[in-house]
Amino acid sequence: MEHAFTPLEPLLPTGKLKYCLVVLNQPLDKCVRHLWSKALLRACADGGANRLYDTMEGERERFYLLFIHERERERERDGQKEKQAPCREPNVGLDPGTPGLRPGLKAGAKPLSHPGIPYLDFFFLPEFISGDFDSIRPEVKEYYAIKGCEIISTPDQDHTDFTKCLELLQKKIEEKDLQVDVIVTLGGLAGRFDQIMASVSTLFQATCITPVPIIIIQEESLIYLLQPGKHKMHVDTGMEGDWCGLIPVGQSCNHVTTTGLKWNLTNNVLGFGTLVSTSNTYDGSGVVTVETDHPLLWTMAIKN
Amino acid sequence: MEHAFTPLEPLLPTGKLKYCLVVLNQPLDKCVRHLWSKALLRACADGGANRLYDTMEGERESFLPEFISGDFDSIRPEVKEYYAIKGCEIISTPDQDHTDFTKCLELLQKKIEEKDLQGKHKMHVDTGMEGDWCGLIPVGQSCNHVTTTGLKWNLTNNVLGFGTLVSTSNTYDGSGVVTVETDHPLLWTMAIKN
Repeated sequence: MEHAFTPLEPLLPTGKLKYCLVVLNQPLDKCVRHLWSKALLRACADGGANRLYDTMEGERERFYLLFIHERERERERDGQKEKQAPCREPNVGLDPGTPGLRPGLKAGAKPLSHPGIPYLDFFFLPEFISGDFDSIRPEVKEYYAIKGCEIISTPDQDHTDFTKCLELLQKKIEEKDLQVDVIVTLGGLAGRFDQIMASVSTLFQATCITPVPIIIIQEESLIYLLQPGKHKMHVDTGMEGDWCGLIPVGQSCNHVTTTGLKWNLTNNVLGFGTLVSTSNTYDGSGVVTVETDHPLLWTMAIKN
Repeated sequence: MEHAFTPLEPLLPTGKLKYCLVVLNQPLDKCVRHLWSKALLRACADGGANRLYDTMEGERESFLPEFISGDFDSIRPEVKEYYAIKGCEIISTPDQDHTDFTKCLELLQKKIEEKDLQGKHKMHVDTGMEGDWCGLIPVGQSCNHVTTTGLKWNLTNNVLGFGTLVSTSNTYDGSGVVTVETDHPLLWTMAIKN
């Protein structure tokens, strides 16, 4: 059975992809604005909250307007009748009878306030922030706590904040009975080398945590772990960069066959010490297929 | 047979370590000056020559590599010409099945002692330049028998593997020495204090 998807679909300006967003502790790329506005759920792992807080500082207006714009386009597309107050304030999901919009405020949450636009801060709240909190700044944690954001401590030192965040995210997805196509993770691919490897390791563990595919994006790179079997990837969104690769992290893959690449594999062995496919590229067909007998890390460039 | 070394020894201001230097195509860190001066042999892989050229502006003649190798799709023409005129060996390695780095190492191979990568290792981590974190990454295959000492979270005949256990965000126990025994190649990574 072939698994087909389009890795860069979440980055498309149009699209109805249902995804959740996880923010890790790395500088945030510009795409966060677009990704934020269309995500079903958003979570921060520990220091990811610092990044969000600092990025939003100068960006509130733009995010707000983008959010409103997206919601209006969504309503136009669906032909939905708007349920709005007479003053035409945006529906922030406070009315439990409007499905498909953001979940409402927690009962007992303190009232939000902003000198300018009402409910502004609400748009930039993640669903939750989790971690062992050795990275989040105290004032950032306090800010989100006051705003009514769920702060969940996960002190377990045998797993990374990212892994634990995914566990919590999966629970939320189940609780809310959401249909989710992909989990988009921002960060995790730069900085400390051991943390980069930990991000890759989390992808391996993720199969036991959630059935939802996970992609990790930072700067110009995307990674995605291909499970054993056949895969078909559409690489014609127009956002694909020059390079791509297949990295046999964890173990050699003894039977790898590809199409759609400039340098294809035909029942080849991929392994550290044998052959690792890096600096590969596309043959122009717009589709890449990969067949592998063991987990194989796909990586590709994102045009900036 | 135990293999002992001090990973950050090349960065020490004093020392008689015999080493060769390879420069790849990334921004050069400050330590390049010190490392350059004491290296036995220095080489650039393709665009690494650009980095050297740009970083050493004003004093390029004091930083001439023995050779520059690669498929030369990154080195700027004026950079290549400069080093050629100055007498550096320019070695074209067009083979597209291997990276410039790999091919550069092959050229250095005669002058570098082969190190045995498997077995017992002893690393001194008390130069004062060690940062907070370290890790053991079983990149290419699982390591079925890994035993360590000197780490905060040691392994005792454990399995390390992606999907099983990867040692990241580890740190030291203060003894100044880390030993690692492994049955398959295992990637050691550590922080350098800046």
